[in-house]
Amino acid sequence: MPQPLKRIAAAADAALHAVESAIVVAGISLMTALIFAETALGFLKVYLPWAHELAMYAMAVVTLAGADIAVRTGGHVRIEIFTRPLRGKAKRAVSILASILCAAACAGGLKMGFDFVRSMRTFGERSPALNLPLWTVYAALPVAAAFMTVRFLINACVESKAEAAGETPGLTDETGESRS
Amino acid sequence: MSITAAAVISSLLLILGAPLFLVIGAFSSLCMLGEGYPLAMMAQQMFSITEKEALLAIPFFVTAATLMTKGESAGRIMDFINSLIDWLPGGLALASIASCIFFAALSGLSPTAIIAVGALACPALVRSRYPERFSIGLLTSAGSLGILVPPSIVVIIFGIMGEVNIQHLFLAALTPILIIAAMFSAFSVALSIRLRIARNPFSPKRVLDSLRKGVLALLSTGIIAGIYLGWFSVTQASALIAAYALAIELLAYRKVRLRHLPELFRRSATVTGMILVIISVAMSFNWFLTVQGVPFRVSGFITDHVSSPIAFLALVNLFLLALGCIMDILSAIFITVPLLLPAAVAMGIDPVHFGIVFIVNFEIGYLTPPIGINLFTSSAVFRRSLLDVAGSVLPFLGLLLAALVLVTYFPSLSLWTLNGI
Repeated sequence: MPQPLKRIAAAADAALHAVESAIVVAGISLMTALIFAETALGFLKVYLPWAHELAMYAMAVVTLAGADIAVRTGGHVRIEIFTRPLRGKAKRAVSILASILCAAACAGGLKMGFDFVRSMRTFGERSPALNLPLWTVYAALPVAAAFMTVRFLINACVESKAEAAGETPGLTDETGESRS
Repeated sequence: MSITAAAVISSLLLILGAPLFLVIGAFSSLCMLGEGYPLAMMAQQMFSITEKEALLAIPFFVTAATLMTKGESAGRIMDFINSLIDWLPGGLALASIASCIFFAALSGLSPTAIIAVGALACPALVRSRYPERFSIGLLTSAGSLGILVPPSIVVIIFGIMGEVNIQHLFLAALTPILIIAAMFSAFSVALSIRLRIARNPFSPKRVLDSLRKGVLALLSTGIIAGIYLGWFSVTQASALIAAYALAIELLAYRKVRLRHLPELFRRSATVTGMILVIISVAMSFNWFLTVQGVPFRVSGFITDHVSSPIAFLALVNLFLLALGCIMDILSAIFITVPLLLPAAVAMGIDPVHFGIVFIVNFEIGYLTPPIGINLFTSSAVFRRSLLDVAGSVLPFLGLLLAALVLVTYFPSLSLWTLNGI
């Protein structure tokens, strides 16, 4: 692959990683604090419906950012019965084709998410407890789809370390820890 | 776009190894377009995860497990379990079973138990004169039992996808998990007696010492017990345990430092994201299936052609055992539960009982080639060929199949714990 393209891919990867990391760290901290406070205060008969609502929205945002990170680490659940026996160039060719098709699917998700957010903005629907404009929450969908599109394109351009080592994507994450 | 074209495109994605959420998402969106639904419906259904309170338990349990396994808590709880059990006949094998179940339950991931426990326990078992084949088979199989024990993410996801009460599922899983653990234990004890394997001496001092060191970590299991006792909902328990794990690891054990948290949270978010994103697209797919009347037609077809619940459960077991050979449990839940569960209910089968049967089938699926994930993990951890590992789990597969028959045809084994609820 040409060096400039590699540098662009590395810069895009670093930028996305910084944004995703900030989102998930803030999101998980917020969710834990909110639900812990809600549960603890619940024993004193003090109820915080806004805290629950905010935690659920934070969960949706963390989910989308986490799913994006999982694209980077090859961690997503997938059926590998057909690709596992492949080796070398054949494996890489299939991986590139899959990444391009996945990028196309995510681009479709971006269009779907964008249309959805636009329609929600037109309706002006608001959340029950926080009175937030709901389109601001739903905007996470097209943003995450855009991130994933870029991530799959990066995967198509740059062979991951796991792939180069002949490991199966999804079996190990960036820390080398297995998952089912 | 016809449903055939949608099936062809999504099958291509599936064969190429695309993430399952994209395969389901592509199929679902193309079918919706084909039937004239706006794609905004799909986006709306995906966001219905913000209305399912139980889903919050997943990020919390994953975060708690990440903190406890990377910190000191998990190791200290395991030390306590070992000190209590390993003096019994077959004690080291029994302690390995208990540790595998504990680790798999804590992390929600069966292979984690093999990595965490296996690397230490396998050499210890072999040193104590247990055959290597038995030791590898035991450690590979025991990890799969954790998926029935709270806070199993598999049970939570089954409950959400099938709209079955999660606390009831956990309660119903109690007896089956004890039966399977007892079968594994009896086999291990019999082998240790036959091979005249020496026993460790019981040391009250060691028990007290490990209790003293692990008491804070052990208190976290009290929060899990609160789910059984009805003190907390699954979501509340998960948030409490995450906050508690954070507090004891940062303030008491101090192996985890503030600077480690971003990396640990990122790891939790990755696991959370990969699970919840499939749930969100699966929800939109289920919505599409429901408005098309597919579950109703499938259950109608089954009730027309299968005469009794016994025959139905036999067919379901055969189907799920075959499916477990080629598909992991999460994928299977997302794809088959919306179709099979309504049929089971139409046959008069309790959905909680069906859930337990479903999950026990996939405990077996962890151990069956070609994609039994525990086989691959063990093969890597113990540096043995896949064939060797697959051979080593055969006796345990036999025990699991026997347990499956018991759990399937004696629903009261699962359901008696729900009496009075």
